[in-house]
Amino acid sequence: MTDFKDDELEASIKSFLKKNLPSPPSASPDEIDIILRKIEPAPKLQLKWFAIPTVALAGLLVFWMSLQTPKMVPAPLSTTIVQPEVIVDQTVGMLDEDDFDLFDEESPTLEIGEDYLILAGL
Amino acid sequence: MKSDLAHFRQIYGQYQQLVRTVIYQIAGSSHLDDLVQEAFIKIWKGLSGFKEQSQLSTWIYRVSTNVALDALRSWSRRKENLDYDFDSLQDKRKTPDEEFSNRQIVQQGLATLSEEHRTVLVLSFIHELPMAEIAEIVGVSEGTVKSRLHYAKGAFGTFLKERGVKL
Repeated sequence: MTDFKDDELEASIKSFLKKNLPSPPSASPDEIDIILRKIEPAPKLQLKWFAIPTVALAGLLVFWMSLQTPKMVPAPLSTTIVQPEVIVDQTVGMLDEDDFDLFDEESPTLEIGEDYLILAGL
Repeated sequence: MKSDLAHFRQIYGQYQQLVRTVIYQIAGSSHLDDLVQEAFIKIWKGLSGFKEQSQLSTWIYRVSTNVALDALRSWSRRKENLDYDFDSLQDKRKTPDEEFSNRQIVQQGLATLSEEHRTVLVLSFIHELPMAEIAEIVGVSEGTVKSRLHYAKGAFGTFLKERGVKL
């Protein structure tokens, strides 16, 4: 009896639903194009397998070259270049009076042959 | 790729109305266009991995149902109301007032059901799918489907009677 009532209710509801089922608002005509635009990936740069190692190597090379290049001294903010006062000791490297003894005319200047004889006589 | 797109276009042409109707009947008209698009994007993504173990229509029902239920759960978390947009139904085909009123009652009745009960009622009573297929679509056992349908039928019948509908 309960099953019969249940089936009856089911049939009545189905019938009512079929008669009165509201339909959804229709889709816009370009819906498929909208979906396809979302589906198809935009053309983009395809990275090859060797792109990343190449970029990494290039980066390392640039870094190494930067270590080799002498560092640039930054220019002073002022345009006037102030030269530091350089005090040069002009006596450095100059010969003393004693040094001229080396060239004294009185010092014996031996010829090579005489040198040899003297050395041989020793 | 082009042949896949051609196949997809064919599927869209064949199932667009079905997907739209299922989502509308379960989730209402809020964001309907967005949800239909989301369903077809999922169909596209899953098409290559689709196995012929189940029918294509069953799988499409499942995708549509899941999109609708996910949307309902998301709106529920954000406290959005189910909106069937009754105004959009009005006077498109010069329907009599009584018929329009009955359509409102149907949608209101569906809206009073929980999402699980509404889903099985829609799939069983409107789309007339067998229990086994509904169980596969919803991802529960046939027993659970029968139980949900029994409750949904009783609640929907009571709602209709309360609104003065003679069953």
